Amino acid sequence: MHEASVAAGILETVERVARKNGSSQIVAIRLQIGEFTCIQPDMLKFCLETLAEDTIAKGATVSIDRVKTRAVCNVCNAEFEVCDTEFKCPECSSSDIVLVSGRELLIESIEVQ
Amino acid sequence: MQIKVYDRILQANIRIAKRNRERFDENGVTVLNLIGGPGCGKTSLLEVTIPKLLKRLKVGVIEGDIATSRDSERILALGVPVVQINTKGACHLDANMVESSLEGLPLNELDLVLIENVGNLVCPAEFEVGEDAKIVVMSVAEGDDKPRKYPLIFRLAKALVITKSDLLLATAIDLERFKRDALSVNPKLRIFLTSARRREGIEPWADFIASMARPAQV
Repeated sequence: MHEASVAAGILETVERVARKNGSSQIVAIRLQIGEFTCIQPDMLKFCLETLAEDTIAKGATVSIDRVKTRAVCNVCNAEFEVCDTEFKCPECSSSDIVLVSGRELLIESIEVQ
Repeated sequence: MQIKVYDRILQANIRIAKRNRERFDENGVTVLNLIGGPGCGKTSLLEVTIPKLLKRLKVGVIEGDIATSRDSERILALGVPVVQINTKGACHLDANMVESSLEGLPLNELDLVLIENVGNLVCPAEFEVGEDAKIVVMSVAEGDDKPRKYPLIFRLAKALVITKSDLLLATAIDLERFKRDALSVNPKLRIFLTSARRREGIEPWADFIASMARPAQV
């Protein structure tokens, strides 16, 4: 369970960004969380909303975009979604593939007043 | 007003991990991060591996545990420098904890640092600490379905050390399926089958570590 410390880090960043932009109230936080990460989105959302109580992000809407795990085949160039931990190309069955998404852990944007 | 941020969520950890990396590079130290569930045999593996390495490399150990210094005491008995990190409840080592612990190791005298992460197959995978490679450790008693249940660590690891091979007959594990699934998640994964108790399979694994470590400074 590390979502609380991750949430605390996110709040630090968004508070800094908001203040730098002359704002003292954050009304929305938008994140990107890849499916191939160890961050559980619902838990992160809960931690963010709870920890935000004492910050300028109190009451802010937290929305999380889930990014699918996708890969490109180095042999036939097919791009595909990695489903059910099947790390091989559905077109040519090669396992020589490169992940192109799914590892995202990003603060995309904030909405301030 | 909307403000684009595009900051990495774990930026603070990534920054410190990079700093650790630079420090390891400056000192010519190779660092392996051993990740496996509680009781999979990480400490026992180190106990039988380190003596094999000492002829070739100067080794130090970072022991990560939620509480107690039991593991570091076991390693200390081997006569190598060891530093204990107690995470006090945290489920993984992060770069900051490792950075703070480095004061306790004579890095300039070492070739290799083995980090034993907190017993956990999930979270340690996400937190870089500045290591050269992650090693996943799993015993034959944990079942053959883990590569598909915990794909991230299997995908990120350079090697899989299967431990407790002496228990093979007592478990229903399908070793071939286990290896096949691990390789389907990560075709480049090197796999070693070991028994610390019987001291079997340790040599190839120790050779692999030695091949990863930079040659000792003369």
